[in-house]
Amino acid sequence: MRITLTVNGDRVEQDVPPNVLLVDLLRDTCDLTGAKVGCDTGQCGTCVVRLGDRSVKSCQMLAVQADGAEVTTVEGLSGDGELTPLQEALWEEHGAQCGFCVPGMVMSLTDLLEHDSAPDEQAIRAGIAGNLCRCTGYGAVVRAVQKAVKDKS
Amino acid sequence: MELLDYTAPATLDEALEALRATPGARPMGGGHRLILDMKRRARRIPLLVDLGRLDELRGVRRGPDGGLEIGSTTTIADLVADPLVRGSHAGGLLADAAAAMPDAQVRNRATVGGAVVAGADVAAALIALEAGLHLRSGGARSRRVSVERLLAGEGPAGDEVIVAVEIPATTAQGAYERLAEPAALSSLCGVAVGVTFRPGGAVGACRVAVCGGPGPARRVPALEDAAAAAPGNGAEPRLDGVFESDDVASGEYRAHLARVLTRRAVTRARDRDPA
Amino acid sequence: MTTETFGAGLKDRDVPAMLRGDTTFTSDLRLPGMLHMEFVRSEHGHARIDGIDTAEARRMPGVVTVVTSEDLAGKLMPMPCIWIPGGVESHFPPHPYGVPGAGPVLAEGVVRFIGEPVAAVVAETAEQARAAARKVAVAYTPLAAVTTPRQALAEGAPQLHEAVPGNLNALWTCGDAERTDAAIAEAEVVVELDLYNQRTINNPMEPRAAIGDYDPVKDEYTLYATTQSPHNHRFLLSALVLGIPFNKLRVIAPPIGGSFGTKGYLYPDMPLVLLLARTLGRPVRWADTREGLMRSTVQGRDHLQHVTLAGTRDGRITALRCTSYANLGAYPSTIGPGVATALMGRSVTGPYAIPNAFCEVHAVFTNTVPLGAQRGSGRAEATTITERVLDLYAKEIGADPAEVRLRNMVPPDRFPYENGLGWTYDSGDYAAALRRALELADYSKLEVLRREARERGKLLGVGIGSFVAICGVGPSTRMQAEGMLGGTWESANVRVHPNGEVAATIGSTSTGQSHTTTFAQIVASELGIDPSAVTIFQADTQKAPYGQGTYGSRSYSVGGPALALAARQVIAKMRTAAAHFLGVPEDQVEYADGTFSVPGREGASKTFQDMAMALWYGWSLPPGMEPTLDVTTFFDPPDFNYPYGSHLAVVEIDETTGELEIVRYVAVHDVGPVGNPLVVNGQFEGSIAHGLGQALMERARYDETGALLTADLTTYAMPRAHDIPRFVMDTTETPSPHNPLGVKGAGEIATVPVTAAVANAVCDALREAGVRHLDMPYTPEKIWRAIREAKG
Repeated sequence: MRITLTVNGDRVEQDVPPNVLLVDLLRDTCDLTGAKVGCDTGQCGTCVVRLGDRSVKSCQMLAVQADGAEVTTVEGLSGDGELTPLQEALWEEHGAQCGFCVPGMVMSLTDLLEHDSAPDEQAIRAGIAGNLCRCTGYGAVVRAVQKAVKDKS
Repeated sequence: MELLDYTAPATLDEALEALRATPGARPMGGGHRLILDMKRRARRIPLLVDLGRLDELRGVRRGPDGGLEIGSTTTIADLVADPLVRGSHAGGLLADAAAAMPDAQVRNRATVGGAVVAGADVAAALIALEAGLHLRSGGARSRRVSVERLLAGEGPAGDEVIVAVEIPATTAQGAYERLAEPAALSSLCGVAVGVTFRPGGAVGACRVAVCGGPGPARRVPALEDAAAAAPGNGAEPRLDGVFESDDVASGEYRAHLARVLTRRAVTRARDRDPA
Repeated sequence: MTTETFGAGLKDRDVPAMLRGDTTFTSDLRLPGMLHMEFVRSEHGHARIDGIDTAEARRMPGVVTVVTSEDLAGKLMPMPCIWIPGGVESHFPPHPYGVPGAGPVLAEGVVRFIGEPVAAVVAETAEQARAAARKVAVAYTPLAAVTTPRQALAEGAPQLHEAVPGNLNALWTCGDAERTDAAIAEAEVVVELDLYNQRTINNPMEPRAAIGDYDPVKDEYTLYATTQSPHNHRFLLSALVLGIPFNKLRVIAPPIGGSFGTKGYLYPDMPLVLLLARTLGRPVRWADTREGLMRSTVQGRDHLQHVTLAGTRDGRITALRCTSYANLGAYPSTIGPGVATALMGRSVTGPYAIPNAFCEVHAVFTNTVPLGAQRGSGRAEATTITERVLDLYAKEIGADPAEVRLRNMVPPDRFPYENGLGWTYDSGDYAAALRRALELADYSKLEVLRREARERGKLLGVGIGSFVAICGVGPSTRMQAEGMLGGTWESANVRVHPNGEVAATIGSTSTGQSHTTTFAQIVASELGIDPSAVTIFQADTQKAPYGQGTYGSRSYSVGGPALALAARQVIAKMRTAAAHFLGVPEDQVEYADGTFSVPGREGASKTFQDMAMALWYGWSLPPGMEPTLDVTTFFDPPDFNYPYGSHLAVVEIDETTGELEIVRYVAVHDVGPVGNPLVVNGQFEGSIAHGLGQALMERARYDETGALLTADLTTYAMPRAHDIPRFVMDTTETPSPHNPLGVKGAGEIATVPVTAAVANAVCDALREAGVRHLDMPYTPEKIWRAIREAKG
């Protein structure tokens, strides 16, 4: 099937079989390997990208479902290697260790902060309920979001 | 994952025709459950009919009787953010149930229609709210059935599509309580209540629906009777056979939780009662 | 050493790339012409293979080849096991070189666990390989299975390996059984406990992956793999599996997405992608799925234990005896048998001076996924049983559990302290760390909280986990005695470029511990320069000197000293040359802040950069001095190091539903000097969360046929952000005498006492309801049921 979508601002026109997952289209066709495949069943959140203005799990979506949509992956969050304030805060607070969950974590948190500019700790933790991290114990991630929120206000 | 074909019709009539024309075709809302099913069972589906592009099925509006009409492809995230929903008596209960879904990404994609068929937290809430469904199938056939009856086995048929969820106007207060298992974050046991309180706070009319375990969400009259009984007055509700056991929890524990969570939910609903 | 750099909380220099999604993990690599491999895994815990029909799979679109064990005969040897139970008789599957075998690359005639690879399919795309793998028809005759050590040891039990009579890999012991039994017989108080430390699945977020590449012109192989021991794996794969010259294999570990003890092992995919890359003439990639990981990557814990503690009425422990049944799984993993015996057994005295101790471990094969290490492995299992029985003892004699601990801890003046089971603790003030934890937890006021909780209908429990954890594996000769078939030193190279930039290369490999930052801090501090001038290279056998890898919290405490010693040799050489150029005796030259100077002689100085350039040119060097600054060192520590600490958990249990909440969690650690607090605290927090996972929810479950009932993340729970409380943490600092930096292992130690602290807290809370002991994981239904049963 022929689909046309925008990925990180670039128009992508591609023939895809109906059973191809969005995450595989991004990784294998668009060569954007930021989104990972960590579990296949929707629990780990390493595949989270943005579809329009909402975060989604790209391993739980067919590529054809994204026809006509605007997709943003972690690679498209900021231009020219700059970091967003959230990413800066994650760096400062050591919110990333091995880095495998990080792209998905960043995308979920970006979504959270766009829909809630000042989440409390409970809301931050709920906001990454769909992202598993085995390294940090989440504490540094929570502190980073709190820092990003504080720096903004 | 064997999926032979996919279509995303622009109108409901086209969608119904596609479902009618291809035996085994499946309608799809957000797609989480279908895609997981296909991955797991390597199930062969001849045609997926994506309802996601049917603008006519999306959105919330006020129904003729003052209740809510919710288009079936409205996402759960949009549902709980909708001003009409938030301003209604159903808002609190629906927000509770939506929050019980695993995560933001699921709420962002999952549709109200899909959540009904999934038969979990949101479906339990809708049963407690006495919600009905409007279904369409090919040839302009149309029927209405309650969420409760639908999940009890009355469809939907293969070529039927849920068009809208209809929540009657009510002044009952609702609340949802649950205990989740920690892996997939699904509810071990969830209890939705819709309660009309008498002046002074006693429980008047009450609807209780539960979810958790192998079966879909269902109404439990024994819990309604217990909730309506005066505090300390009345035996523990008998829930024999209401809950099944599986790898996650025993039916016995689920039944015990249902009793406890019903009390918690009624208390929460009372806290919401403006009177 | 300048303190500004060592000890500073510098940000991890690799994190920006991670945040941008630019970090290339193994599964993100794309080599030109790359093919994709998929395994056909066993569907049975134990079965005979009657036949494998690959015809239909071969006809599937894109399929290049399908291989089974028959195709590997004469090409790949079985994998070896290199850490065996030390000092005792042990039995292993065979290996043609006479070393302990760890099973074939693809199953030969029999499958012995649910994920064992039976065949491999190679196709043009991963999807095609997956589809074709489903078409490989394997005819099985199911065999009776055993999934627990007790079953496997029973008379008439099904036998897994011909070479392993009774499924017993080894009965391993340490300590003095006779004296211990005598002390128990004479004791005033004897407390016993049975405990099952359940099997867990490590589940790093990145599943394993491997890519094989072969250059026919040079006859050279390259393996890109998720390995935390590239050098070691190069040796084992080339010599013992592939049978090719050491010089012909290069192993590269791209950035690794977490390991926690699972990626230091040889797995079948590694030799197979190399062999197939050569025979097919194209690179071959394999990337595991989560389900594949859960069915085949080594699992953790799984000790069934019985412990007896003896003591006096006034709280002095006199003896400890532990018997453990360790479930090794179907095959010995590369280092599994050593982990399950020595690391557990020798650690059961914990931080206490116990005059009589004995431990025996029955290491047993069963039809389950092979056992390996999990963060804190061995030491966590030892700590849990000891700390639990110590609490029961305290309750038995009516004493405060904290007081009993303080009374029995090894006092600071007794180091080095031999624990009677084979470990010699290096240094510490164990009681000080516990006292600090009690203070931070406001221990004396917790009884008030307990009463308040009771009024709210909650049961409050307080639990302590005190520990000491052997780390820094290890002194090579000592490890030989422990059954390690290989050296356990570490190496480093420091090279100063002409402009003063420094390239430092280490033999260990980061799996998420910020090596490129923390090791740069060591070098910069030793060289007196800015860390930004130092680049760290790792994880490539062609770039790095030899190394052993990352495990047993050894990178920083064994590899770090190697690096520091190399840097010190660089400075020494520079000093000699500087004295020569300045025309003064060497002992008159001081080095500080990047400058060699002569006190009292204004203007007589040479900078670090001056000396770098001078040694690069090699002009007029002191007689006999070689040009350039390029130093390689090997550090083989004189003994292990022993970080320690105490955790304290306060839990509240809802008696009605069994729901559990951790309302306070305090952790105090002593890892010696902390090189980078940001990184080390991150290790602590992550480790505690990992331990909480086991305490609260994690459990690998098998049915009686060996089917894994928890083979994906919908059925195997791991902690999420809302499951983890905030931690109150602090450190004390006691340097280890066993390395020049004084540092101790820090990567996994904070996992060690978590299950102990939580188990003690839960059991403390449940005591009021009449429950003596409850095994992990503490799910609400289990707690609810325990309360109900205790109440009758």
